Amino acid sequence: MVDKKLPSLADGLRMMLGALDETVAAGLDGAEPYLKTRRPWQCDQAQKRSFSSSYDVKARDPRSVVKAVGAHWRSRGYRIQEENSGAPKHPEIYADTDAFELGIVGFPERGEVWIHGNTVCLAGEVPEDWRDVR
Amino acid sequence: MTKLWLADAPSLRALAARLDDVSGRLAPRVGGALSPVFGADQIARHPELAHYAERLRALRRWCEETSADLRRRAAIAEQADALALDPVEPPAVRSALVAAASGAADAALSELRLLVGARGPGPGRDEAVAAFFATLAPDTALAVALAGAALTGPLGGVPYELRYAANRLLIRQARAEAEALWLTDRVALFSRLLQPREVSAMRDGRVVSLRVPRQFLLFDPNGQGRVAEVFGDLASAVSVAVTVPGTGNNLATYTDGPGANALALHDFAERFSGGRTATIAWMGCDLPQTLPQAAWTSYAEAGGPLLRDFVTGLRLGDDVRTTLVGHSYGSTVTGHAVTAGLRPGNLVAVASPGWGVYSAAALHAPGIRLYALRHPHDVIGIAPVVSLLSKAGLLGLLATAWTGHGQDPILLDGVTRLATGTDRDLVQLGLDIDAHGDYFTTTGRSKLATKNIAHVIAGDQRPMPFGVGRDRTDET
Repeated sequence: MVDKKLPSLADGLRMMLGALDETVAAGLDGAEPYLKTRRPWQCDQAQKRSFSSSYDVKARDPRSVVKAVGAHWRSRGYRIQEENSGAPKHPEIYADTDAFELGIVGFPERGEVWIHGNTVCLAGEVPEDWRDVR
Repeated sequence: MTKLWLADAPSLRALAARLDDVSGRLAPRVGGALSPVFGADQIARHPELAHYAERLRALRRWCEETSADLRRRAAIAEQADALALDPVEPPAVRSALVAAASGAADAALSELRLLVGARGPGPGRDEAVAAFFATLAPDTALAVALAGAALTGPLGGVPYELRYAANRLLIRQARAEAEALWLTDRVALFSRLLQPREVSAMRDGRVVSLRVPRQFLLFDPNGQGRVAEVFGDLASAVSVAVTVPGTGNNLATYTDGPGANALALHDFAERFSGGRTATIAWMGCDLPQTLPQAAWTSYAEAGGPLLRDFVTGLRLGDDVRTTLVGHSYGSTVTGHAVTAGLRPGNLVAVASPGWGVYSAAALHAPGIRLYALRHPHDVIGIAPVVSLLSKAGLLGLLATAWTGHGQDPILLDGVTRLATGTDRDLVQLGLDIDAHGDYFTTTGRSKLATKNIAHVIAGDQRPMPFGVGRDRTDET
């Protein structure tokens, strides 16, 4: 994929976290994730970094949440990379923008969804609150 | 009766220095022709002196061996002291280090050395080693593992937790040596390997993020360096993945490269499997460091059997779903591991120059499910073409028997090609170097490849095949 004008790492992280929060608000009526994690994401370009963040959220009907989130992402203009919302076991949808990728996976067997976001490799200083993410 | 053990590092080092001194004083008396007392001439003139010369030689050997052993113990004792300030390492490890430094584990360690020395690598030795440790009390077993960390760290059959503790000790010792030599880059490198990582796990049906001590099954700082790190609970896992990175990787690239990639993969597979996956980042052989080197088969020929022995040494149950994932040259290593006799459930080639074969049948492993991922425009696509030209004798003097890795796995019969997010690119050919890493690394656009590989590892549902439409709702 051709690099367009990409945001700084700090801006990319802000955009990604904003998208994750918005996704929870839109697809889960604002239900609070019981676990939020931050991890380094895969990147080996010089002077660039990428990070991921994910939310594990309890949901009464993970299948409908996945579909609702897919609709929300379309409405926001995100590119749907792959939709497999009809999978009998783990329905899932993946989308991306120029600056980050998003994914949602439903786990009906344990009544929850996992929403995952990662920035692409971005240049710029690592923000203070991400420096201990390893 | 209470035993008093001499186990503090300064005392052990002082004693070693004293023995070195004694050994040095003995040297001229047992050294042969130059000896003023027991030289060959003197012994020829006075044969009765030969008796004493032999005793002095034995005494000198004992001094040297004991001095080396005391230094080994001092290095362990130093780490026991350092651990007093470590908030992560379990307290039992410090106690075991003190016991190991005092020599309390020496008899059992000698027994283990004999057992290992009597057998070549393989399932028989792994089983004997496992049986040996099963007879030891837990604290003794840990002390033995730490007293002989260089032996037990990489040794198949040793319980995982003991190998983890042994390899962390080896890393600490390597860091201490680097500190003594003011090798600041190496100190930083080893320090990073010791920093706990946040790893996802399942507890009571919920995902938790645990900050746990690092779990290494292999560590060797020499040369390019070798390392194998486990994410997840290997003892209880029903799905185990082993990832092998490609060209250019070494100990210096490990943490942010192969290690971070395996951790990201584990995050997905752990959730897909309901918390029953362990993912191992394996870098247990030398890898090519340049593109010309990557054309050679020698690295894979040497690495394949090492990978086979490593996985065999884990002694995984027959019901454990195993997956080998090789990226770039790492996939060639995995192919050679399979042709050397390893039988994983799944073999995944990512951006592969080839498994070292021109047909799936040549792997001689009919039961293995085969998968491959490659972006259409990935530059690696030309590698098998060059290999085929070489095989056909069309490269003249450039064609050698020790270069080329066989056919592109995505073109082999019986291989399922998986989606990488670029299925619908209008141009399905190209020479994009960045794309070569865009499964785990390079630009960060790797979520689809990552989740597809994770589905293979977890076995929860079929991964998305290459070229299948985006809106698939009829999962079978």
